[in-house]
Amino acid sequence: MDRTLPLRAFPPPDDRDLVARCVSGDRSAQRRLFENEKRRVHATLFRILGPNQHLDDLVQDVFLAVFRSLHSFRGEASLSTWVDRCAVRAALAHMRARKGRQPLELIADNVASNDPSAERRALAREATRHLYAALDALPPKQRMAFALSAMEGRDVAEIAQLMGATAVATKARIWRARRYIERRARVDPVLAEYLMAARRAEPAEDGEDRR
Amino acid sequence: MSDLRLPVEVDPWSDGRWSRVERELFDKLDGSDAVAVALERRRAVRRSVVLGGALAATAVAAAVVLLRPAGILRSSERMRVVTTDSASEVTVGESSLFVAPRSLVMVSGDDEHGVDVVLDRGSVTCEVAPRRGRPPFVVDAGDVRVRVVGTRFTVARDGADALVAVDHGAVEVSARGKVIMMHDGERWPQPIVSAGPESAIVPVSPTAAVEPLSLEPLPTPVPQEVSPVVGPAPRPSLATPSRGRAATVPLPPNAASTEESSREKHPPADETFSASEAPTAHPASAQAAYEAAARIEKMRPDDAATLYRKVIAGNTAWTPSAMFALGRLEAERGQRQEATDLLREYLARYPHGINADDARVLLQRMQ
Repeated sequence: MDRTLPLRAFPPPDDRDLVARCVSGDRSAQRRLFENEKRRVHATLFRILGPNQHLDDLVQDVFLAVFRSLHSFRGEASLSTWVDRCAVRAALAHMRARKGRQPLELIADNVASNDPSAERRALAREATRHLYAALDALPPKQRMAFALSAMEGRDVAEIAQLMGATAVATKARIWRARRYIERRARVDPVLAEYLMAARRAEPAEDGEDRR
Repeated sequence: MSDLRLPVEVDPWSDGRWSRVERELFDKLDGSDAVAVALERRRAVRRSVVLGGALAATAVAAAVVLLRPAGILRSSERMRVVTTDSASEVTVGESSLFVAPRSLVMVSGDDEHGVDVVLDRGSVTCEVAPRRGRPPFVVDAGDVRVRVVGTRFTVARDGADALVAVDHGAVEVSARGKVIMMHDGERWPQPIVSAGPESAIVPVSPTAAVEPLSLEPLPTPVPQEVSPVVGPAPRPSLATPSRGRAATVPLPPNAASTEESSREKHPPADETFSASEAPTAHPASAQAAYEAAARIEKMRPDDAATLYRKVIAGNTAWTPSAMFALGRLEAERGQRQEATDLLREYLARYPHGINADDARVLLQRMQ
């Protein structure tokens, strides 16, 4: 019996190959890694931190951390997970550095418009601002766990792995954050409406890739 | 505990922004310690300037609060600016908005948190301080979003769409998932159909099909669902107001459509339309008649239909748009047979016309 595996003319380089080339200082490999991961990193940071004037710097910080620590990559997790961990660490550091600063101010004025779609978008952005203003009050790890769960759609085990925590602790953080957000929604009609809309939309999104 | 999912729309970055981030990242990585140190120093300077400026700002803030003129926006406010016959000026942080006459604009945010401008109707010219390192300055006009890099530009509403003209600097325009950069002197005319479940099929007037110079044309989206339709507002001109004077940014010149159908061409703007044929408003041209019909469609659909018929009968370059608009109007009014006949005739005469895709969608829906 022929046990020879079929040869591929151009085998796709796996994570280890790419990592090895990056570690050796191969700029094209580093650029490729950046190209592969940049949009996901940006989206993750955006969802965790909200609209933020430091996102450019943060994306750079994440990839600097990735390239500087790649030599310790053992391939036990995927490269994407490794990059995500760097993103989570950078976001946590950013949140800690900003702790105590003035949270976003809320805009509670009623918006009247003749254009339903523009108004809806403006309200959606306003609701997002309310959400991030509420998240600003949470401890960084709670906020991180909640954002990865609710906004990024990751499961508890993955979040625990990314944050270097146990599943139980992660679950507790998500639960506390969620309880806080729901409490906050009781006195914030914009946030309440946003949560209600999200719940209504949930069944339709089942099975979709939320990331 | 069931999982709570909160959708957050991520603002896409332009290729230019990604290039800058990549360039700076690899400058740092290049080991060019000098570059890395310089960048780090620049950040430190930025921080120290912020710290140093904070004291001065605190002192100034009290004066600003007390002496604030009506047109300056604080971050906690949402300002609604409605102009009648004269223009108005609003200051948001380091940026200024010149709201044209008969416009409605809602403004919120500030330089620290980002500025949102929703243009509900009319036109607004924005003079925006460079955004480098700061959250975006965004203008929403219907289905079009303009994200500012630092510039002076004008956005004018046109139904669900918008016209954008950049005087200097650069802006990002995103519409239907596509992002393009616009630079000095460029203009962005609009595509045809508003996509999405809430969108309406709006007939495209011939002037709307003018291709922008050196700009990547947007693809024509195929609407999944069509909701009841509102008539298009007349295409506004991109008049750029300025302090003390009114400068006019001309619209792109009319040009022949690139569509295969040579019959559906763009007319000169002042193409004559027999005044005797126009029933109620006696518009002076086919374009004026078409636009008048679009304007009164909601309030006086019968008169609008009559006007559209006159434009169709005039057999000018506005005929295709009027034919589609009338078909759509009849569909809205429940005149299925009439609508079907008109839309079929439109497709037979202009199978590659600007509104052909929309006509097919409408026909499908009626069937």
